[in-house]
Amino acid sequence: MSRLFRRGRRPTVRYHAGAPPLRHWWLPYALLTPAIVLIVVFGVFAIVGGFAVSLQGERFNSGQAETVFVGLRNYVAVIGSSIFLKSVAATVAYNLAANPLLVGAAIAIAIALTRAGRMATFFQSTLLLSVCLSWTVTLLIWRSILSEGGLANGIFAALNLPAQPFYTSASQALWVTVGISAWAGVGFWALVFLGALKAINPDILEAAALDGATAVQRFRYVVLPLMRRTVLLASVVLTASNATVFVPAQLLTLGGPDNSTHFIMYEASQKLFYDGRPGEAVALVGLLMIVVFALVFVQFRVLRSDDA
Amino acid sequence: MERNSGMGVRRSRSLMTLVSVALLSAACAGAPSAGSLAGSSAAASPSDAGQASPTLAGQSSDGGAPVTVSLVANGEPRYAGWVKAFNATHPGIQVKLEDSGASGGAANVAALRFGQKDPTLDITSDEVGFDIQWFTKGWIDPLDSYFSPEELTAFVPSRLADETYQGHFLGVPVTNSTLMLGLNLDLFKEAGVDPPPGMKESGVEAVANGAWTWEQVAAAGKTIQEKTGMSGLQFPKGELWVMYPLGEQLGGNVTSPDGLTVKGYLDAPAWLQLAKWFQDVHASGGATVMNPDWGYEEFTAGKVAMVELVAEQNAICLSVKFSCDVAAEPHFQGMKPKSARGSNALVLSAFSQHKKEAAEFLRWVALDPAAWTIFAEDTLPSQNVPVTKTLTDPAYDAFPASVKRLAAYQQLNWPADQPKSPANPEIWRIWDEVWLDIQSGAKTPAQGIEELTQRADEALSIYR
Repeated sequence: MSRLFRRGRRPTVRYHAGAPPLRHWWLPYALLTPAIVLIVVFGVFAIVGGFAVSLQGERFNSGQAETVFVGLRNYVAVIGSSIFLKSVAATVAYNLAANPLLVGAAIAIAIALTRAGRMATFFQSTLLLSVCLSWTVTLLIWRSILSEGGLANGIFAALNLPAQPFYTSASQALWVTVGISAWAGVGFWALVFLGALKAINPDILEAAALDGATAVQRFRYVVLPLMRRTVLLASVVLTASNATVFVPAQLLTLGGPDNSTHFIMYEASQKLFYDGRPGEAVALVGLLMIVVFALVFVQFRVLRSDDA
Repeated sequence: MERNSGMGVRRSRSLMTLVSVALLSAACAGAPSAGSLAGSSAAASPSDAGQASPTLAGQSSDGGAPVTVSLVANGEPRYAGWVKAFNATHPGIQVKLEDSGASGGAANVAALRFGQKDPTLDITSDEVGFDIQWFTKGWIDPLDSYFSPEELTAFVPSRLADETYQGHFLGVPVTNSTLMLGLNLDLFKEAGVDPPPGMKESGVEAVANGAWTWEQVAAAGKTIQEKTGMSGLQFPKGELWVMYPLGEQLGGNVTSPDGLTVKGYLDAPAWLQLAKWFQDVHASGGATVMNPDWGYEEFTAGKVAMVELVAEQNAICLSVKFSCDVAAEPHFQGMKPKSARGSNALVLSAFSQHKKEAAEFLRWVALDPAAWTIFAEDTLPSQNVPVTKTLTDPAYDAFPASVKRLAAYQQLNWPADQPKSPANPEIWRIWDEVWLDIQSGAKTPAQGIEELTQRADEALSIYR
């Protein structure tokens, strides 16, 4: 919207330069207000309040426990703890594996759906099944499949293959959680990318084909650039959600084996609910938030469109 | 343009300054909670104490509407039974049970609400030893002023000792999860291995005196696994309260006597020896690793020959289709048997608005025989009278009721010393993670003990 207020004159609101002014200048702000209130109350206040909690801690002095301002002590404590680097490594590894896998798989499925013909609706509905399940139910299902005597090892046994430990193995547990996460989320993002694919003008692809571009070239030089905004959306959302991964560690692996799935949010939740250390828990979350903001900023810079 | 950009920069700086001041003010305001180790109880007790005698039974504090006391507890049936019975006989005080779900859930809920100084939380059940941390943080009031020394003798001495810290009585013990060995006799028979004496065929003395050593258990487990393909032994979970008696048998302690130091204690040779044995018995096939859940599904499905049972599982043999028995808790060769207690307790919130009424409920649970009866239907109580009665009452002659007799015997004769530290919750959590890795072979015993000691030491640093 163009500049709103000119001194001594009634505010003028236009959707873009050259558009006629809105009759009710206050309308856009009124429509935005509920969302802004929610963001401020449950976002900004929460962040400010959380940061305040992270600067508080307990001091035990002569038998008295007191909650006092401790400055950055909680941050120093969590960064200096022997489990911190392992938590960071687990979280980063999870994101580096899960995000590209999910985005890539979703795009591949979306492309396949464009060629599914009459069965497209059926496949689209099926994809949404995993999205409808809660994390708890998803993990219970996969735990029964991947347990020592579960379906997967039963199939391996029938094929004379050795049984696999899956989530009870330090070398496999992380990839198991990545795979489960991808399974749970790929349906939703496949439909999002399907929408982006259908928004591409088929004439552009036809022109590229007439110019001699192969299918791979058309995808790389035409489709992918035109889907950049959708890829950016998926990357940002997945970065934020996968950086705060917690449920698989809580319900499946208890942060192990050998801290391989000891994610930052898992450690934060344990510090809050088990250890009774909210200051350190929020400090961990605060550090995680800074990292997520940095990653999102980088993604915006790398993936932004020239016409953004 | 320059004037506009300058104004914009000054506005940004002003906004940042305002935000920074707001953040720092909010942080510095804090909410000082002076949780005195003795002060809060002294401050609370004169007006709240019932002078060690039930003065409020059936009376509301203002003579009018009943006072509602909240109780957060796990989903065991005894809590609902207690609440129903107490409310029926105390119209002036109505206890409202808030089911926190799975075991341990109450402690998590409490930690969150204590941290927020929730005045609507009156009583909660804790996890083993958590009340020491809560007391140190000033989250709970000790119960010294609500019980006379004579009344405290109602408890089994070891259970009273569990709930006593720095001379203060912290909580009413309400569970008695002593461990025993569940047996699938069909698998023993199939493997051609003679089982240890169990309560099905033998009396408690014979079972206790014939208790196997862990070495025998490991050997039998390996043989059964080789000959039947089923699991020989399962530890449902290598939790702290399950493992510490084994370490104590070998001469180990979790912490220093004041509970503030683990270096030199948790990394002592006894724990390394236990870790090696624990890993070896699993690696050799004598025992199998369960999913990180406390459950008995595989045992009840007939896939496990021996499993560590808690006293609450005394009737498990009624729900299985194989020949089932319960034997005494094993011990290491040449060592005196020691039994874990896994004691939970009901504690009084320091932020409760109804301490007097809440204490009435706690006194009823602790001292009223009606409460013991409800408890005894579920598991083994913690009071002397019902526990010793279990040893002689003919109602406990027949199996599986006799399993409670074995639990009572172990409770009275083989008590292990429960670790006492303000960092019990932290140590327990780290312990759980590390011993699961030792169990599965993800860490070597030395690595596991080293990490456990290091992380436990870090957790204790704020209390020193």
